[in-house]
Amino acid sequence: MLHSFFVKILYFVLTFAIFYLAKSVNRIKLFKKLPPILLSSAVIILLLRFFNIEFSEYNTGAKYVTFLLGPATIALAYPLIKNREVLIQNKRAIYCGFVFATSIAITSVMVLGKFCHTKFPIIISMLPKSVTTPIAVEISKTTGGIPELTACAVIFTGIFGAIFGRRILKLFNIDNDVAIGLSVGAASHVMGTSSLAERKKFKQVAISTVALTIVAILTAIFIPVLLKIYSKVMLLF
Amino acid sequence: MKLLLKKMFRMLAGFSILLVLQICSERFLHFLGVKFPATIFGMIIFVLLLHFKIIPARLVKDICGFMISILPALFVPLLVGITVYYNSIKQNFLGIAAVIVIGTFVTMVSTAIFVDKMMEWTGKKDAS
Repeated sequence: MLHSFFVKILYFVLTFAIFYLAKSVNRIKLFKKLPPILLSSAVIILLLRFFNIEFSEYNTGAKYVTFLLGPATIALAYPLIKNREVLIQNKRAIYCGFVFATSIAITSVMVLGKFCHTKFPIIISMLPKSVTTPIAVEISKTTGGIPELTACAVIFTGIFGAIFGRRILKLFNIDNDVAIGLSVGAASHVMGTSSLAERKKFKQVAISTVALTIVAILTAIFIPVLLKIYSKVMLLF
Repeated sequence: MKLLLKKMFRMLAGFSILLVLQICSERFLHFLGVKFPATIFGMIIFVLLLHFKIIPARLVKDICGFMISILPALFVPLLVGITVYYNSIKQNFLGIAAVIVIGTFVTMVSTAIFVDKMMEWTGKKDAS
């Protein structure tokens, strides 16, 4: 009993310890391009392999880290409320941006999936990939997708957005806080938003937070509608 | 010393507020039988509580800053968990990778350009 309690605490502390170690490694010039989230996950995967520990065993302690995601997501309300003027000032562009981003996110998955000859259940599972994990899994369940695959797609999308999001937007010369926040939040949910928070861009974080919330709700409404249109279009061909 | 104690108290009180919000939203949605993510619901409630100054922003400032700073670390177990689905990913790797990389790229860039242009049209670009 006491043993398992200490093991749980060990996995919990280990997760944070390795993440902060990876963060300090990231400060060294040579490793600047290596995101701490990827490095720390890779180190933990290797450690688990090395000591022959199953993921389910590691998760007995690590699930408390995942649990903290709840309060941390709720905490995003603070930068949102502190920067509400930005949202009010740009409301027209922001509202249109939400609808645009949601439609593009869903349509791009459908078109690309079809183009790559991906099986239909897999396409359906990936439709809510730009939405934060708990909502995406719920949407996937109601539309007949595979929840595990949805979770993977969501996390990979988040990693991609968090690592490359700002770099890609810089490549296209976009330096507008509203555009950066909205596109990163809408395309790569909480993980993208956390990458903005890491750089202390709180105006972008506020918009990104609203974007991930509204896009999540819109996606839940849009997917069934777009799926119907999509199946009708497919019948025409 | 007194200041440190005060800060610790604020952090603790703030964390309790966040936890209570999370648990209450979970229970409330479960009670209603609505399939809506509790964290997003909790966040909306928290925004309203802060907006109407029912919870003073001063009380939760430190804890929110701290929670947001550790946010990236909280995704690590989820990422490690992907190893469990290794086989199903391997089978459909090309399709999944293409959809994620190109899909996210297209969504992000087109949305950013769309919003940027929209702000130019509505003349609000300088306000950002």
